[in-house]
Amino acid sequence: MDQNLKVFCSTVIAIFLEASPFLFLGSLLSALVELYLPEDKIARLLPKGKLLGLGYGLFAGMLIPTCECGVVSIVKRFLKKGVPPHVAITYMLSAPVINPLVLAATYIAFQGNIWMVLGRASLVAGCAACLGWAMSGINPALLLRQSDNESLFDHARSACGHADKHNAPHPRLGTVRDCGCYSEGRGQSALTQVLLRTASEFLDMGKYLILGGIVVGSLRISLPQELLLVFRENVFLSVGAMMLLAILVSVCSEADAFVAAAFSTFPAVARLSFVAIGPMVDLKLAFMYGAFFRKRIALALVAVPIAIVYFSSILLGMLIR
Amino acid sequence: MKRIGGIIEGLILQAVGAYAGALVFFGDYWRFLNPKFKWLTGATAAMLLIIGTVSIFKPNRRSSLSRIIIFLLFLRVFTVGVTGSISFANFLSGFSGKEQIEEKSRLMLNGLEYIKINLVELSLLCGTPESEKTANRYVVRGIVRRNQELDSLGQFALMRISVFCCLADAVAMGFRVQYDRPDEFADGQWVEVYGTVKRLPQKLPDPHLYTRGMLLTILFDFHLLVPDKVLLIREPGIPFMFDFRKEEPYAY
Repeated sequence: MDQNLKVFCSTVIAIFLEASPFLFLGSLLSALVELYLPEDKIARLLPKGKLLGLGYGLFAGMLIPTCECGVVSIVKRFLKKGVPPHVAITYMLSAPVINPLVLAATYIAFQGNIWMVLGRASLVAGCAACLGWAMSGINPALLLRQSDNESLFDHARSACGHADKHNAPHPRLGTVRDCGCYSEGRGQSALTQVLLRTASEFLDMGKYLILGGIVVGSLRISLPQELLLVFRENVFLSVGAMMLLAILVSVCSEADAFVAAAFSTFPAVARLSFVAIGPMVDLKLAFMYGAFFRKRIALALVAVPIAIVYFSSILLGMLIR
Repeated sequence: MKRIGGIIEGLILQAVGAYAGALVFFGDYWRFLNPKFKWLTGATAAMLLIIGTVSIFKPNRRSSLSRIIIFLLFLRVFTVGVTGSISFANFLSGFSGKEQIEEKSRLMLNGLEYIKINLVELSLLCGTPESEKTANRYVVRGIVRRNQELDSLGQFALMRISVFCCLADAVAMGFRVQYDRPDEFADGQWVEVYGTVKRLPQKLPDPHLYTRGMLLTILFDFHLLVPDKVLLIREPGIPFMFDFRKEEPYAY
């Protein structure tokens, strides 16, 4: 087999297989939220204030270790359920990094350099909180694109056309509305509904993961390694180059610290920018943001973290010097 | 028509699950991911088979053509990518991912004792202040990489690919080996180097070595391997480095 084709196929397969357990878990959680967490309960659980909401988002990110591939699916469902954007977006951006697993991996990879761990956590939490704050006044539903593939349980597509609240699925009738109508899920057990919803969500998210993997695989065979090394002497360029690399290669947040640590000839801030930006913005995430969020929101989710991480890293680099 | 689409989606999920499962049980899983994740992929494969089966019997009436096309494309890539790497013989190696770990942690050669270590582990030792450890004799293995710059210095590079999670984060790592006659070895040959590590007073110039398909090629520039002996060996069953330890027995 041609060597380039082999590298391309292996990269696509590796990215998909690595992410698939997290994608599955994300889809399952999303299905459970959809079917068992009514809007009124969510409204009761969440704080009213913005600051407290941001804190909730960050705290959830620490408690629930979620890979960046799985978290988009969960947050999409949260937003559909009316979770305020400042909580949901803050959670989505911070969860892949500020959990104990990833922070421990960062500590090990950088051989006990606590400043790298703190720098990474602060940069990501800061970015997440900034974007969460900026989106706090927006109606959650307005953040999402009108999906062309609503679930078989969504009200808008139900037989009666009602758009009222969901209740928990009835064991025999499916999802029963407040008005007494029931959706297309009727006659299916609760377990079947969860599995079908999980399958649909997995296919939906997996589609963008595959597209991202294909682009990454193509870059693997076409991106000249020596190009990157040209930039390592200059802080401005090295930070930019490392961030670009993180976006293009889409390494998982649990492994990226080991890759960054290997770039030992690059300035520390450039390596910090690599581990900060990758879990918030990369090719597969860009595909997912574009598919599920409205254009402006997707653009903000990509551009704002890039700007914050770049300028913060440069500033930090100047301070260290 | 929509019902057929739903059934196809179920079949696709089953196929993805079956492929992933086959790779775990019968395939060269290490070619794509760190073997320690076999159980995770295996569990996901089982879940995909289950949701695929449910989707076939209760098809989603809102299936999507784009999902079907993209997943079929992925299955094609999967088929091409795993060609030749799935066989029943691999089933015997099991789930543990420990096939790369050997029992003896030291080797004797010409009356001298050598500690078995892999290139990443050796680089970790060189990066610590425990300099007394680098005074030991080590045996490392890897691929010979040569170019004109290295040849002119009487050196070759000993490289190996390290993988932390999956192939997407794979990095080629290695040391320079001081060897008067580098032309004894051809580029790409597997060798075992028995010797010591020498710390250099200043950084060596970059020899511009690159490895196809890798994110990065790192050649440690403050250390040099000084061999007592270099032996040609067969390529190990699992050529990549997945396990990195800070104490003996090293993963080698």
